[in-house]
Amino acid sequence: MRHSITERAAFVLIAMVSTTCSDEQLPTLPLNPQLTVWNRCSKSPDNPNFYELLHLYCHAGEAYANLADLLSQPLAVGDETVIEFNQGNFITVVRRRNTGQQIALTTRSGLAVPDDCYTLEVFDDAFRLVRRDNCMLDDGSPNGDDGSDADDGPPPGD
Amino acid sequence: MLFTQQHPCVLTGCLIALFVTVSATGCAHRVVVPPPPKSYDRATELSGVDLVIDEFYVEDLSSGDKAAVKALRRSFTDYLRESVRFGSINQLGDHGAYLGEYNLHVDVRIAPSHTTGRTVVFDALAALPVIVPPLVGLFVPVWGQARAELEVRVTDADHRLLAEYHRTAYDRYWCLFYSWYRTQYIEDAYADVYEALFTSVSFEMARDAPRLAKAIGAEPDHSSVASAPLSPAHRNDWRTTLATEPRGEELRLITESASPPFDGFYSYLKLLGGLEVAAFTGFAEVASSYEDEYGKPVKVAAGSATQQGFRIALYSAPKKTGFFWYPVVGFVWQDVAIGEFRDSWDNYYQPEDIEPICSDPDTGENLDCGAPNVYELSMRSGYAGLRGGWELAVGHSWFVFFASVSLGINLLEFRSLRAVVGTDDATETGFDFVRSGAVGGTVGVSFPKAHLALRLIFEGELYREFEYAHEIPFKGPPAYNSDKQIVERPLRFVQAASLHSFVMQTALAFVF
Repeated sequence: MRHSITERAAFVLIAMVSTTCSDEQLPTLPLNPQLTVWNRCSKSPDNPNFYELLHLYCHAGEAYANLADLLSQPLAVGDETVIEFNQGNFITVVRRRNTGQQIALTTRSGLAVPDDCYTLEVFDDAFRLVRRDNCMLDDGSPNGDDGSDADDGPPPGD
Repeated sequence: MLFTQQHPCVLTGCLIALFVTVSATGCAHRVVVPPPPKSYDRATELSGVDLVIDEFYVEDLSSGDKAAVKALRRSFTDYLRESVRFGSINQLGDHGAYLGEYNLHVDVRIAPSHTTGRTVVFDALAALPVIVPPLVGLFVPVWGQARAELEVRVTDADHRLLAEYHRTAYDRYWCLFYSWYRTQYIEDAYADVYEALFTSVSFEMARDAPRLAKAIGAEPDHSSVASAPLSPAHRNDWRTTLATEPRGEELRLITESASPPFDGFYSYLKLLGGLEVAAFTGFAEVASSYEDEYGKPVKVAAGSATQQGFRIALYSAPKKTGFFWYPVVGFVWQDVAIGEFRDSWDNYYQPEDIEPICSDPDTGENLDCGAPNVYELSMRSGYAGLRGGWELAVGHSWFVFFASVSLGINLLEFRSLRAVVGTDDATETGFDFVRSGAVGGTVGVSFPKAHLALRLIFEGELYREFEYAHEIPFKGPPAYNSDKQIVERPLRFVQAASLHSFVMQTALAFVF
C-alpha cells in the first residue's frame, strides 16, 4: 500500500507531537490497519443480491475515478471482505440503483481506524464503523472492553 | 378572410352544399297522387245516394303543389267509388255552385308535412370534392318521415253532421346517394301516405254506409263490405303506418321508446346508435404496490398526470326512462412518470452512522442520495365490455333531458405496458380478462328531431394490475431493522401497476 508524501508527513508529525508534547503515552494509529467491509444492504426475497457491491475503492481524496478496484468479484449481500486501509482515507462502494444504473456511495469524511478489529458496515444509505467484539489482535491483546456478545460483527459465513 | 384565402375550394364547397341542401329540401312536392285504388268485388252499393265533395282543402300549399290538388281530389273520388257504389260522386261547379240535388256532402281537409334528418358530417364531406363535380353530394344520407292528416266530414243536405273521420298516416323514407338533388323518395312516401289515408277513410265510409243511408232516408242495396277491407290482411298490403297521435305535447316522463320499428337501411344504421365526439379533461393516478406478509397492499410508488384529449365513440341518446345496457368498445392510453416516495433520512441516522456522498461512478457527478427513482410508464388498453345502469328521460318528441348512472366492466382487454426504468426499456403485452371497470354518471339533453345530443360525462375508471415485463425494484416504506439496528427502506420487487382515472367529458353526438 503506497502513501502520498503528504500523508506520510502527517503521520510522522502526529507521532512526533504525541511523543514530545505529552507526558502520557497516547495510542498511535496504525498506518495500514486491516479493515473489514461488510455488505449489509437490504435484500429482497425476489432478488437477494440486487444490492451486491460491484466495486470498492479506498482513496485519499474524494475522487475515486481511475483507482484500482479492491474487489475481484462483486461482494454479495451479507458477505464481507478485508482490505488494507490507509488512515484518513475515504471508502467508496458502488452498487446498483433501483433504476438499473449504478450509484457510488462515499463516506462523507476520511476514516480513522484504530486497529484491525474494525468493520465498516455498508447499508443501503449509510456506513457504520464498528469494532468487532470477539476480535483478537495479532499481539494477543483482547478486543472489546465490555465483553458483551453484541452482534456488532459479521457472523461467520454470513 | 384568412380562411377564404387559403381554402377557397373548401369555402366554395360549403356554400354549394348549403345552397343545394337548402334548395333541395324545399323542392319535394307534398301533394302527390297516390296509385289507383285496388278493385274490390264486394263494394257497398248506395246507388240511390248522390254525393258531392263540397270542399277539398290542402293546407300549406306551395306554388308547385296547387296544380296537383285537383288530381288528388280525383284520386280521393276514385278511392270512394271503389269502396262505395254511390249513385254519383260530384264536384262543385264553377264558383262553388251546386249542379244538382245531393244527399251527402263531404268536406275534406288534408295537412301534409314531412321531416328530414341528415348528418352534418356527411353533408360537409360531400361538399368537399368541388374539383370533381359529379362527386359533390355523392353520398349524403338523408332520412325522414312523410306524414299527413286527413279529416273528412260527412253531412246531409241540411249540413247536419252525420260522420267524421280523422286519420293520420306516415311513411318513412331514406336516401343515400345524391339526395341533395333528388326528391322522388320523399314524394313516393307521400304517395304511400295518401294511399293509406284514402283507403282507410273510404273503407270506413263503406262500413258506415248502412247507417249513413238510413240517416238520409235511403236504403243500401248491398252492405257486404262491412269491415272486410280493414282486416289485417289488407293492412299488410300497406307500407304505410296509420297512427293516431295527440296533437299537443306536454313535458312528460318518457317511459316508452318512440323509436320506429325496424325498417330499412336506416334501422340498420341505428344499430350503431350514433356518432359522438367528446373532449375530455381529467386526472389519472398510477401506483405500484406489493403485499406485505399479512397480505395488505403497501404502495411503494405513485404518479399522477392530467389527461386531455378527444374521443370518438358510437353512442345513442336515451329514449326512455329505465334500465339500460349496451356493449362498449374503447381504448385508453396514459403516459405517466411514477416515482418512489421521498423520505428525509435526517431523522433516521444514528450518531454512529456515516452519511454517504452519492455520485455517478461513470461521470463522477454528484447525485442526490435521497432522490426518488422515477419510472416512465406508457399504458395502453383496448377493451370490450358492458355498460349498464339506469337513466331518466324527461321531455317530449323534440326535446329530452336525460341523466343516468352507470357501471361497467371490461370483459376482455388487450393491454400493453411499457416501462422505461433507467436504461431498461421493456414492454409487456397480452390479453387480460376482467381487470378493469368504470362507474360514472351523465347529464345531457337531446333533440330527437335534430338527431343531436349534448351531454356531460363524469366517469371514474380503474385498471388493475398492468403487469410489467419483469419485476421492478422499488424502495419500500421505512422500517426499523432490529438485526441491523438501523432504519432502512427494504428493497421490494413489484410486478404490476394500477391506473385510476377520473375524467369529465363534454360530448356532442349525432344520433342516427
